[in-house]
Amino acid sequence: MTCQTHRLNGTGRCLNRSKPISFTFDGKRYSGFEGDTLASALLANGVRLVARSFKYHRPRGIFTCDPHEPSALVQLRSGARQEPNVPATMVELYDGLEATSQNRWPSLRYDLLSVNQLISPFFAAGFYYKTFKWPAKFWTSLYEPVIRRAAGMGRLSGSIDPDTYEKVHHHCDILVIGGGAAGLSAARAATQDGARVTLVEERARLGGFDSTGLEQDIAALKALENVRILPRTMAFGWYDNNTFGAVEQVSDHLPVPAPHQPRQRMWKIVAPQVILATGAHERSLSFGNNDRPGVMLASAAERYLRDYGVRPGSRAVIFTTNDSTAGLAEALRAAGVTVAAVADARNGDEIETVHGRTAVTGVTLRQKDGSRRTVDCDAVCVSGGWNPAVQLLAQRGQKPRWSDNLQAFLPQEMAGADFLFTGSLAGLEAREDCQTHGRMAGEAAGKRFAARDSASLADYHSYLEANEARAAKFAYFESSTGKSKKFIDLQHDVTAGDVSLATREGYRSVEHVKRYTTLGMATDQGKTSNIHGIAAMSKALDKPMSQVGTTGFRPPYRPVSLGALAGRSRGKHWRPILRTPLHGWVEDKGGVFIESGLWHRSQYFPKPGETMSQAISREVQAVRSAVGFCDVSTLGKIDLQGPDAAAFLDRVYSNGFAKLPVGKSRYGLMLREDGIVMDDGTVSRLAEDHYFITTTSAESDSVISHLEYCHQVLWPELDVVFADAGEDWAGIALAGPRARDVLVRIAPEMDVSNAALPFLAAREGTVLDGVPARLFRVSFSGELAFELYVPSAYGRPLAEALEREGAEFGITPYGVEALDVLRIEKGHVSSELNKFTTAADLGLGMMMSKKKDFIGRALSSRPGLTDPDREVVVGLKPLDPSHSFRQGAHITARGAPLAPENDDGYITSAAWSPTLESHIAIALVRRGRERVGEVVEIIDPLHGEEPVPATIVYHHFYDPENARVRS
Amino acid sequence: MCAAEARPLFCLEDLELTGIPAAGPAGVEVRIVTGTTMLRIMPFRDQAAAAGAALAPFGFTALPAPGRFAEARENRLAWAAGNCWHLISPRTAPALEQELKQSLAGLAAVSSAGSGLLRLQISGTAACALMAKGCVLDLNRFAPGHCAISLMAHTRIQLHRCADTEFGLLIPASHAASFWEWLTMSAAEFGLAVQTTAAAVLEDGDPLPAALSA
Amino acid sequence: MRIPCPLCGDRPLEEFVYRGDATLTRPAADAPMEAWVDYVYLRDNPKGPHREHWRHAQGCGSWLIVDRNTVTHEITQAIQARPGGEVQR
Repeated sequence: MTCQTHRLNGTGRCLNRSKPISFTFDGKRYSGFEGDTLASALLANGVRLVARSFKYHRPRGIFTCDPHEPSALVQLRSGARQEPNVPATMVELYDGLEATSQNRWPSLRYDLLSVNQLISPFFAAGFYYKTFKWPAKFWTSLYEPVIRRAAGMGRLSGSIDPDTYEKVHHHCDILVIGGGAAGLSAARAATQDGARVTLVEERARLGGFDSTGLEQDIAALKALENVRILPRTMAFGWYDNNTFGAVEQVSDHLPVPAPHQPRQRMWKIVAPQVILATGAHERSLSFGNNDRPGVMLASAAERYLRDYGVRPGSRAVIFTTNDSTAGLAEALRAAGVTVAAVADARNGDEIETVHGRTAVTGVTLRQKDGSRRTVDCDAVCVSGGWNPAVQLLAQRGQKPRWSDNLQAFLPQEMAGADFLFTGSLAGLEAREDCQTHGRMAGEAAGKRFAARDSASLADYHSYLEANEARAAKFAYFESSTGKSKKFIDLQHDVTAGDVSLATREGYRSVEHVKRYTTLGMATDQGKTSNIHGIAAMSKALDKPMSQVGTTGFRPPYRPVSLGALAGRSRGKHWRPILRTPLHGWVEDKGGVFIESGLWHRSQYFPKPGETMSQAISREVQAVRSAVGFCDVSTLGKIDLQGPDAAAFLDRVYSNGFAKLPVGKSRYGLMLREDGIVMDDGTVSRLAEDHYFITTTSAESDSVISHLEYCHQVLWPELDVVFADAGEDWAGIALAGPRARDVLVRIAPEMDVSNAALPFLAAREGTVLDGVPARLFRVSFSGELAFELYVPSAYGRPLAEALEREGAEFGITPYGVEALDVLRIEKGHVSSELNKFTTAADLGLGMMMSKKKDFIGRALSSRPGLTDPDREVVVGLKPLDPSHSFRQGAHITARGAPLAPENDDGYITSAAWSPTLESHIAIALVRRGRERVGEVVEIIDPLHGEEPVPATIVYHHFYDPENARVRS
Repeated sequence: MCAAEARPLFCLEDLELTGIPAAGPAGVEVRIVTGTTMLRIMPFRDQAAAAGAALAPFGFTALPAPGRFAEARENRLAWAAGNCWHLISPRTAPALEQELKQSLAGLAAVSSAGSGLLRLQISGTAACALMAKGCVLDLNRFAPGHCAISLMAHTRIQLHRCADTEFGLLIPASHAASFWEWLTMSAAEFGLAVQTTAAAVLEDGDPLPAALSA
Repeated sequence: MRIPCPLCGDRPLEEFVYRGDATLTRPAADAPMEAWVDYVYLRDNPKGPHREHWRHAQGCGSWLIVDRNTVTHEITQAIQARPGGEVQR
């Protein structure tokens, strides 16, 4: 274990020195204290080199003390919890923490890929666009893999993340984003009129840059009942109507989450008012080799000294343009650091270049008179002024305004403003200013909560105007001389030279230069670099900063893990699983489930040793020769009542319903207004003004929505009400020549004889000694069949009773596969309702009533839908019954060349028919009905199969006379 | 043939209904309520007021406004959709349904909804914290006596605010298993106690808050 | 985005389903084909105020007429589409 060579005695506001902590970096063991970040602990141990840069593999150190650290990205943890690209500045140290450096090979110190810098002229702006243009196929096979390996970031573990994530919804009256001096004052003032205030702060501690002296304010705020404080919570997105996304790092600071504790929690926050106190980001300056480990933002050096008791080196040079570094020299000296030089750009002094490779060893200073001198040092503290953190506002589409006085882009008021901003985001610097103005913002928000329009914002505005009028910041971004690389985007290795090259090549828009050079496109999203790119463009194009403008910003403000966005919706919970009332019974019977939409439906019921196709054939044969039953609870069910119910049905179905007698069911066809078939199902009239409708499983929700539209929007005058009864009823289809024998035993109270209950009869009654039931004599299988509906809680008892009472008739449960084979044999359409077909295409043209208007009638007669060349439903039988088809295979005339214009249609359903002992298919074929008897070829080039010759037949393969359903 | 027994918890078959222990008392208590009859009332055009008035035999004088429910005797009457209310009662279904149909003949459509909904009562010190994980409503403004239809854990549910720390949930049966798994995962950190009670027991339990009486 | 449902109050976007222009009127049964083509297919794509149909599908089920600015997503009004719908808040 190495000793903490750079740790100071005594200082360090954040540290708990009584709790030493041991951690490793690149396998080497170090020590720190509770309260350290990984960055502060590495600096305390004298570790300078912590990363290699993205493109050139240049050595990099710790540059900031901030969440948007551009250089010191590390890989955290190991195994399945391994997490790449974490800023070391944001990692709270815990005992046993493992971190490794990224993007280097074989080691951080001897990174062979750093040869990239020797050929850096080739990596200039637009390098990829210019170099890897041809041949095109080389891109995926060669260029990209090589570039990906050389450039880059950390690696994912490749294992499933063992931790959990969750979401939470939160509502407050006033949201304050940022827990610095301004945010604290704003939050406290905002509560005065009783508003519920929530304060989010991305760091673990409140207080902003310097919490010294704010302890009482923080304690007072925490004590307020109507304040919710969310530390370690980063507001990453601001969406329409003041909806915010924020991520709370619940247990990232722990080795592993506590039992049942999520790793992160995503907050969806809705707040009518928001006060932005997001602060400002200190900016660097452009000078030669300004990326060397040891070059650090001045504010970061100050905070490492004060908060973590860490000195950045022993001899420091300060390079500044502004007053915010005023106290730094004294603080460094107090910590025993020699201040070797202060280069103040306002005096004409600047750093031309930095010396040293893996650490700073000195700088060349260029003084006002042009003379140069070299100064030995091991730390460079740089401050180029401050950029207000306008990113969240820019997400709302706001273009920040350039202030010459403040030399910064500032937030603007927006029409219909639903936000206030304060603190250094508003260009304020002194803590007292931030607190005073924060209080003004908080009070105004509190008053607006109590009574909209009651608050005057005059003081709030004039305070900011006076501050801006007073300011006279020095305009300086880049040292004037020197040949070494001057980095403006440390994370993406973009130099001032790249930006000027882009402008020479004709790029004028800041958005284009961004994309051409990749400036600001790294994970820090330009927080440390954008302003210098804009300054470089301003210089190269000779345009003022205000005219160059900034790029837009989109969520997230900082990277957000995909786990947090997914929350609980991962694995099998990525969407709900819908279960029918018979689910448990199917499970107990050993039934196999298949996902069908959101439903888990019974696919088939294999017996021991049976293959899937054997089981399906057995189930089909049982229905054809004896009796079977199938769970059809997934069908949509609608309970329709009211005096105008018949009139309503006449308008939404293409066929007529006014004359449907009470006690009868009818097949119904529903069109879309454009004439295409939407859905089919049965409509049963239970009483004069009471109907029970079934829809297909897939369309049940959209049919309800459509009917509601028709009722609420198109024909509100019709007196009808309908309820989605899908959940109320368990449905079972009972089919086969012995179906009635079973039904007699199930429903002894009902007369189910052919005379009393003929084909298409509909009855309400009871089954199983008193269970209310609806019984419809409809058939999808082509056999004598009934659909039985009982309240869902009786679904399983009904299935069990059918099994018991039907045993002597050979009753067999069947799944959706057999159901499909049965309907294909019978020639009922199902997957043929594919949103392209008309009633006529489906062979259902006779269901288009000519006596009434209905949805879809008018446009059904347009030429495109009545073209005799359209593809229509037919059956297909292979010449060799053992030749199988696939759904989606295409049809061509025999001998026609394989060309798109010879495509005569496609197969919509295909199955092995145990009844016909042949493969069969239903297909949509051009002029199909005229071509019955023709031998065509079934082609399936996607599966590389040989063409199969097949005969076009009528699609009612089985019992076309419909004798069996009436038996 | 003998009478079939209903399976009121069919939608939670094969799931663990045992809860998750916590260090102290469970922060979330879930009661699975069985034996409830739920009937849909959908007034015909311009008949909402008359339908409300016709509910006197059940203790009500009007249909509650959207977003509200009322209680009278052992019954609860809750707004359940645009033009739909639920009468929720511990009484048995066929008799109650017949009575309601008679009272509302010509005024409103009546249908039975009970079998398709799982009824849960969620209470405890962490009930609000748990609800916030799935519920999009502002729970501070969702007072006792309020109800809502809303999306929660992928599912369109009906939600009744029964007391400050108690919520009633009606969950479509097909979604119930998925919802239950979400619920137990989300409640785990607070500790979860589960019990199953018949509606009659529940309704006869705590006295009704005066504010909720119709 | 949030839509103020007249029955349910303010709710997030995920509870709603969008349909489109709410100013269209379904043509009369005997209207010429052109009128039907206009009704089904032809839409303006306005930048700014737009009156549109939304359904509170995961809430009360009501079809709503929503006045929304397509640029700012500001919603100035949301009412039930059914004139004199039985229930008003």
